Amino acid sequence: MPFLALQMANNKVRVGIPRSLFYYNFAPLYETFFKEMGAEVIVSHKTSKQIIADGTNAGNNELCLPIKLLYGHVLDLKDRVDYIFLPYIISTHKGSFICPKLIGAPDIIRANMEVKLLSPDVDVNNIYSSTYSALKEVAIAISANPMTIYSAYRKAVDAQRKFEGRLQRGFLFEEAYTGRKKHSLVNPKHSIAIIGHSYVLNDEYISSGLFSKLAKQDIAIYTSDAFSDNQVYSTLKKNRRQTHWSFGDRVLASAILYSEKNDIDGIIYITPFSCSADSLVTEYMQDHRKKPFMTITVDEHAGDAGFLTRVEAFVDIIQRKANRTARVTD
Amino acid sequence: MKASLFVVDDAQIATDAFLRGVGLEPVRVQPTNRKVILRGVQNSPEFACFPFKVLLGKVMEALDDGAELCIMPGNNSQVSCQLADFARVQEHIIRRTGRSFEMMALDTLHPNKLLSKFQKYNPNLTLQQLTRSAIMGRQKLLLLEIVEDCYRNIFISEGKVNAERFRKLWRQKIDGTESLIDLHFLDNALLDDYASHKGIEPEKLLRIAVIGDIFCLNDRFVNNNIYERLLTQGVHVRQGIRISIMLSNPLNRMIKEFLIEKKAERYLKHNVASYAKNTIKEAVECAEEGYDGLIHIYPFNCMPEITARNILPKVSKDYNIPILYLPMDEQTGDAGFTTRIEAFVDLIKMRKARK
Repeated sequence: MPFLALQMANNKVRVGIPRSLFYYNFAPLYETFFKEMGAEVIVSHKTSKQIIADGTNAGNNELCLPIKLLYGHVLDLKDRVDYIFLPYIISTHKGSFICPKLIGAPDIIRANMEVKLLSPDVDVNNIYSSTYSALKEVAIAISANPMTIYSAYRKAVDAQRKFEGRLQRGFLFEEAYTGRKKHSLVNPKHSIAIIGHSYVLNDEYISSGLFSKLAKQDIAIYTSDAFSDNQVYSTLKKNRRQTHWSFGDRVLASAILYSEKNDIDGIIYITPFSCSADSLVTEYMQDHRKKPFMTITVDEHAGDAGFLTRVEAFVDIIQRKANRTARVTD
Repeated sequence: MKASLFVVDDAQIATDAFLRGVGLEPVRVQPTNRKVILRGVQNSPEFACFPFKVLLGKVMEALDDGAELCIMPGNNSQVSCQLADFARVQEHIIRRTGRSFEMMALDTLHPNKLLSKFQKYNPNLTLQQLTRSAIMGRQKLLLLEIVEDCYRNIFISEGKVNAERFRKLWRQKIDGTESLIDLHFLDNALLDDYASHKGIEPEKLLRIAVIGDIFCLNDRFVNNNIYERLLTQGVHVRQGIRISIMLSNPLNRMIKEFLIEKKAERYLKHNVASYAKNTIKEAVECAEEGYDGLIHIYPFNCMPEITARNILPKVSKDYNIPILYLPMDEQTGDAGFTTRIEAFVDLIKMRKARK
């Protein structure tokens, strides 16, 4: 076992986790688990111009932005770690699936780059590949002791539960991850819901630092991560709208839920260019547009200025609408 | 009740036979053309995959022609691509324009579930009738595919005119046959007729396999008549995937899946969706059988095939086989397409001559 050999040389095994795709959903789970197992966890740097350029050069075969970013992050990690942890995530909820490109992502990376991947299967439809057995499959090489693996898994799950609890209490990803609330507005001027895939919203480079810029203008932000799976699927069931895609389900459900909430003034939907899985879901969204709604498509050429101009115009519209309603009620 | 089943143009004879068998009146689906595609594109979401747009155009045309029930293929495997949402979203889009009609997704091959689906429109339907018409449709589909194979061989050995005549004759005969026993005899007669033509020796010809998405490979307008373009250059063509793969019986399917698993597992571990794994398997198989080149055709924004497209360069490198990638959408021009195929065939010819 190559793992064991490294362990015996009294070097910590270095496990790299790319800061893209499912990192934004399961960061505490994976990080805590590998730390508890006694490995050194290295997360790739935050998305930068360099990472995007690398990713676009390495994988430019009609891929969507998130996969290009994955390329960039793997290249960023490649020389600094022994293994890169990139699981095959097939399904996270019964009856809906992850996009085919994301299921095949480890294979795409493996076919185009010389990297050592740790890729267990995670599929809730198959009882033999739950998260626990997936992590066990990888961890058995670090330490064969089942007690160590189990206790590491318990701690990882606890960390993940805390993280999700914070998200549901309205924390943004960064805040939920560190546990400290950065932007707490006592009396916000407006509230805007920002919906989209978690790996697009929470990547500061792609979303042009939207969260902090809006917070500076006294605007409270709600994201689509703030709903639990139960809320998402009960909403869709009520509206008879379940689709085939997990991420699509979440986006659609949060669009419905936020448009029904009274204290939300507007919804911004951020989607990567040529997202095929989202395209059909957005067709349903048109029925639920009761509030100012804006779609922003992002890709690797997106300029900061154009993005922010549109957001500012959107905020202006909300402002004007609020003023008008105030005048009418007066 | 007037109904239309949307698959591809070449399978129209088989789908009509099936619909007549279950007691519905088939409405002719418009063959794919510019008008249909334009109509579909205008009404679809921007980034929907190309088959979605084409089929939406076809559904709209069929409704104009008087169809009351539209039957759309759906996912019948656990992991599926956009196809799983086709029927739902298309119904949603057309209903929004204020039209009322019925949409059915053929998302199961389970006999009793299928029966209850069709009984909604034809209450007198029995399981026996349904089974018979399903077998009828499938048998006709298989025969049509044999005719297509023969057509391609005759095209090379005797030229286009004879081949066209052969295809037209046998398509008419298949369309006219109404009983399963006659269909069985037709099968033998077809092979006898084919044996009277001049055969070909594929080993001596340049051999190219066309692999990729099921819709693109089977719709002649969408793939820009690629087979005939290759045949006129004297290339023996192998088609990667056929419509009948959707209707293979469970045992056959198990064997097929086992073969796919064996060949493709090295490159693609999971069945990502639709037929991406099959594409990889075909590529590996053709490379092992010594084909001279591969052409990968896929629709714009097709998620499973883009996954395959990013893995195929590795297959190409491992087996030292050239691959031409051709994404298809509504803006595919004729001239550029021909140039690329001709250049590819020339390159392969030179490569073979050097060996």
